[in-house]
This record gives sequence, C-alpha cells and structure tokens, in this order.
Amino acid sequence: MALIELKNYVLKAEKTGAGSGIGPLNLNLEAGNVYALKTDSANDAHLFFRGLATLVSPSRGTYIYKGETLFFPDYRRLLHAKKTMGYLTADTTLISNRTIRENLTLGRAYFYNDMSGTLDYETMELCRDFGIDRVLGQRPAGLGVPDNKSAMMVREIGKNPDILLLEYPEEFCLSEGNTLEVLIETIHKRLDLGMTLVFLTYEEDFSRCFSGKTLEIREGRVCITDEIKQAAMG
Amino acid sequence: MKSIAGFTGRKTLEFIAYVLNIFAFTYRLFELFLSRPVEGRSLIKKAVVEQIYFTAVQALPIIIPLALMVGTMLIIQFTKLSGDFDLGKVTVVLVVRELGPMITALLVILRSATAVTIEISSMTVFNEIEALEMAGVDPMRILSFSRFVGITTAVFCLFIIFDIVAIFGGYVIVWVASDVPMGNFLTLVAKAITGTDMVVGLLKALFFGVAITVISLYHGFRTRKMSTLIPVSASKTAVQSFFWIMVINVFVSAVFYL
Repeated sequence: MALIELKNYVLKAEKTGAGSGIGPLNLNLEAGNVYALKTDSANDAHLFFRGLATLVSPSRGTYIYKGETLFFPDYRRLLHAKKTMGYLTADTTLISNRTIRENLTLGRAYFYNDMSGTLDYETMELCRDFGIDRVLGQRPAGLGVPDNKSAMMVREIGKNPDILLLEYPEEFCLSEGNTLEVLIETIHKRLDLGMTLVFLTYEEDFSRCFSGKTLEIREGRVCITDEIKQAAMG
Repeated sequence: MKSIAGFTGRKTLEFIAYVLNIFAFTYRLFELFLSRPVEGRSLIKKAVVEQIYFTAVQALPIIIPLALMVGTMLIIQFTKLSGDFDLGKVTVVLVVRELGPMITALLVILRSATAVTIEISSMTVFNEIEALEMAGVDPMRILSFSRFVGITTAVFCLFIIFDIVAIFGGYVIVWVASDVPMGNFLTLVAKAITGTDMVVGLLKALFFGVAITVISLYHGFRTRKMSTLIPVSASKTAVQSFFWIMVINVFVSAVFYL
C-alpha cells in the first residue's frame, strides 16, 4: 500500500528565483521503502521535502496520506499527518524557551497531559546513543550546535515516524564520535519496523548504506528509478 | 486623479481585510475557549499561570506606584475644586470609568503585548511554529489560547488593583503628607459610585484585555520570515492596540452613558 500518493500534484517555488517548482507529478511512495533523492536543484529538492512534510500547500493536485486525502486550507487537519512524519532539514529547530527534555516530551505533554518530563525507554536510549543524555535539563541556547542538532535528530526519530525525511543528514552529525554511524544504525532499526525513508545527501557513506529507489528531480519533474545512485546531488 | 482613487481604494480594502482578519482571529480564539479539547490542558494551564505571573504579578511594582501617583495627583486637584464639583463623582468618573482601564491597558501594552508579539514573531521567523506543527501540536492552542486567557485575566485584575490603590492609597498619601482639607472624601466616593460604574470599568478592562491579546498575537503570527520585521510587528502591536482600546473606550462609554 502506498504511504503517500501524489496525484497531479504541483508545488510553486516559495520565493522568486528559488528553483522552478515541482510538478505536475503523479507519484506513489510505498511504506517501508527507501528513496534517495537526486536533483539538479537544491531549492526544488527542499520544496519537495517541505511538500511531503505538508509544510507547503500544493497549488494544484491531491496529496493522499495513508489513504486519506489531506485538506490543506485548514492547518489543523494536517496535524495528525505531521505528527507521524519526521523531518530534518537546515530549517529544523528546537523550541527555544523549553529545555531539551521538554522539547523531547512535548508530544507526550500535549497529547497525554503528562507533564512529568519522563522520557520513554526508546527516547532515552536515543539520547544516550547521540550523547545528549547529559544536557537534557538545558535550553537550546545554552548548548552548542552539535548537541542541538543531535537533539533534533532524537526528537524526530523518537517520534517513531511512519516516514523520515532527511535533507543532508550529515549536517546533523556534528558531535564528536561516530554520530553518522549511529544515525545509520538507528534508521536501519526503524526501517525494519516498516518506516519509509526519503533522503538527500552529499555523503556517499550514507547513501551507500541503504538500498531502495532513486527519486530524480530535474527541472521540477520527478521520476523514480530502481537503484539508489551514488552522489545524490548533481 | 486615478492614482489617488486607486490608492484610496487599495488602502480601504487593506483596512477592511485587516479588520476582518482580526475578527476571524478573535473568533478562532473564542472557538478554542468554548471547545475545551482535552489535549494540551496541562501545558495550557502552566502557560496561563506563567502569563498571569509575567503580565500581572511582575507588573505590580509598576502599577502600584503609578496608581498612587495618579490618585494623589487627582485628589490634590479635586480638593481645590471641592466647592464647584461633587468630589466623589469626579473621582469615580475619572478613575473608575476612564483612567483606571486606560492606564492599566497602556501598561500592559508597553510591557506584555509587545513582548508577546516579539516572542511569537521570533517563533514564526525561526521556524519554531513549524516545529510545533511537526509534533502534531496546534500552535494556536498552546501559544495563543494561554496568552489570551492569561493577559485578559491580568488586565482585569490589574484594573481592580489600580482603582483600589489610586482611590484609597491616594487618599492616604494626601491625608498623611499634606494638610489639604478633604472633608469626607471616601464617603463621597462611596456614595457616587454605582453598579453601572463598576460594570463599565470591568467591561472595559475585559474588552481591552481581549483586544490587546488578539492584536499582539495576530501581528506575531503574521510576521513574514525576516528577522528585521520583528520590531516592525512589535511597533504595529503597540500603536494598533492603543488605537483600538481608545475606540473600545469611546464605544463602551457611549453605550452606557449617552
């Protein structure tokens, strides 16, 4: 079953000169698959990712997520879909006036009215793996970029998303140690549980670790080829 | 000539769109207030308490001296006119009906409304609103609703404190520090104040609270993604909040006293 179906889907470039936009396209992203993005325009790729994350509304066409047609004019009717998506991009940020722990337990506090700030076992494991277990009580402003980036990874992966969208994951692996390897290993565990992965990377070591399909974006057109090609950009 | 007509037309349409947007935003907030979903209640309760603390409790060291100064000044001036006017009535008209709500609202605009706009604008500009949405959290609910309840309650409470401190505190200061003859000032005030005066004062405080919150949140969420637009939004909030509380003030006074 397709996790995401895009029908006659068109995204306009958000700013003048920022790529040529996307579509019209018809595309199915299957659950549990891995898709590596290959593109001639980083702007178009970014727009495509934002479109998949439902952060931009299509100017035309239909977005079907897990069998349900999404209604974009009302942001409230997209929240349940967003909740099941993990998205890491250069724009990703933490909530600045909350501690890392509060950032990681925000969903639990909101959906279950649990203000205890207790992290579940899996999230705590992720915190240890990414080396942020020692900074949970601090606010993002008090931490360096590597710890903030690690916290963002933990937050997005800790959601147990149905789909994980990664734009240049190597930019999130800045901590000392083998963060990229930890990320790859963590993603593999989630893929085994049926998660879908869409990624764009310059890092050949990353793309080499996954087998799946390539989504190729050329001048706003998107097509799927079978094998992941190396060097996603260019 | 055509360009003047065009300019006037565009500005009029912009103004109508702005007013409609403000009313739509207010409607959304009231809808949240009435729908009372279970999700996010704990977060909202915490945020409401924090907002009341920031807007009301932390404002007390400013509002109390301000009320004392205004009360003292007015009482000194009124006692000079005691032969010409009903002292109690003039105090009630000025402090309870007009100055109390206005000064309280002005203080909240200067301290809190601009701060709320800057906070929400920053969250918009630096993608924190998107981060909330990606967590499945409704930003309107956890950011707007808590501030709406918190600020409105704070304005309401500060108004009551201002009135009490201005009248009683002002009286005590003048009585202690001067030999100005005040006669039975407090009795006159007590006789002059009516139920309508109190309702009008409280109603104004309530409407001011709603207007200030709506305008500050509206401009916060409307800020486009440029950090240079954050101070512009804060400035718009201050000016427009002041303008709209003046409009509400005139409207409420006209409804009750004309």
